[in-house]
Amino acid sequence: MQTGSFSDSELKQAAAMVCNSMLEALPPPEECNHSFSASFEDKMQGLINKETRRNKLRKALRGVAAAILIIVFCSGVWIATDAEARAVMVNWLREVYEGSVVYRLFASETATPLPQYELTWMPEGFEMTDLYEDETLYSAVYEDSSGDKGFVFKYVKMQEGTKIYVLFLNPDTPYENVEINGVVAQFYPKSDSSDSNHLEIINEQAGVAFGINSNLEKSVILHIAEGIALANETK
Amino acid sequence: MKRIVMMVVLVALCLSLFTVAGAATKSVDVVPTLSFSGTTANCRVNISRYGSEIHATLQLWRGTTLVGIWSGTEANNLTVTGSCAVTRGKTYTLKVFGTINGVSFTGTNVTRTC
Repeated sequence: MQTGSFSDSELKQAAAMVCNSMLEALPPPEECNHSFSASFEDKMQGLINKETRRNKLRKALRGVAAAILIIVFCSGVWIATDAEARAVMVNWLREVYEGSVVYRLFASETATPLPQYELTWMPEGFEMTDLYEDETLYSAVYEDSSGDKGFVFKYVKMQEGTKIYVLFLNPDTPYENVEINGVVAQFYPKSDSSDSNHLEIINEQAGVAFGINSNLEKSVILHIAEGIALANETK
Repeated sequence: MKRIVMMVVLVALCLSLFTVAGAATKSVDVVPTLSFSGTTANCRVNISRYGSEIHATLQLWRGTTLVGIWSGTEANNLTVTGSCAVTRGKTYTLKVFGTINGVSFTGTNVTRTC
């Protein structure tokens, strides 16, 4: 018996020779006439049909998934790069830009006048000390008698070309989402005693952006904000 | 010795960063608006920061040409407005800058076409 190792090509040649000799030992295909039973043929046909259907379904599902992925990807890119596209979906955006938190308002200009809002609650002893009002902006200062405590209450009509930005040293300053009368608002706490708290409320339904800037406590500011109401509703 | 010097430099660096932080403007609500009515540009900025002295300058630019400048000073809540003649079809940029309690700030620009 011959011992030793064989190379890959020698093994390949040997395998081919064995394969040929086995095939030569078989009768030719025309002599292999065998008729399968009708039930077997039916079963096989069923199996073939089932597999064909499955393949078609798989192909179709793959196509649908690819189309959905392409749509999602393209929409994402479009919305990320085109401000107007974003505006179609939302009327405002909160962005961090060069050290500021910027609220960009996209709502299209309408001829509707700025609604009149009023504060139904404020701390006792507070009075309005300054007011600016025009067609798209209302801004008022309220202070106590000492002038040590106070707040600025403003609201602006949401329209194209308006930006509201809250300047911060660090745009990553932690802010808190709070709910004011069913609207999610952002509360920016003061960082030290020389700073002031700020609350920004974008009411898309009303088309108005509200802001309260104050050295009062958070709970007081939120209470004031909860008391913002349309002037004619309170009468 | 090298380690001590490095520590001192690090501490000094941190302190200098905190000093810059302390001097920076914080929590200022700025609302600049640029609108057109025919061939007139209406510019406005409202700046609020309770307990602070606010000074702001508003500038309207067409490319590199300054077409309007307005400024004002007030405590707590400042509104500066101005209007000027513009050309239809041209693009204008509204710039805002100023000081809050002596610390300077620059706002984001608003650009619109008449």
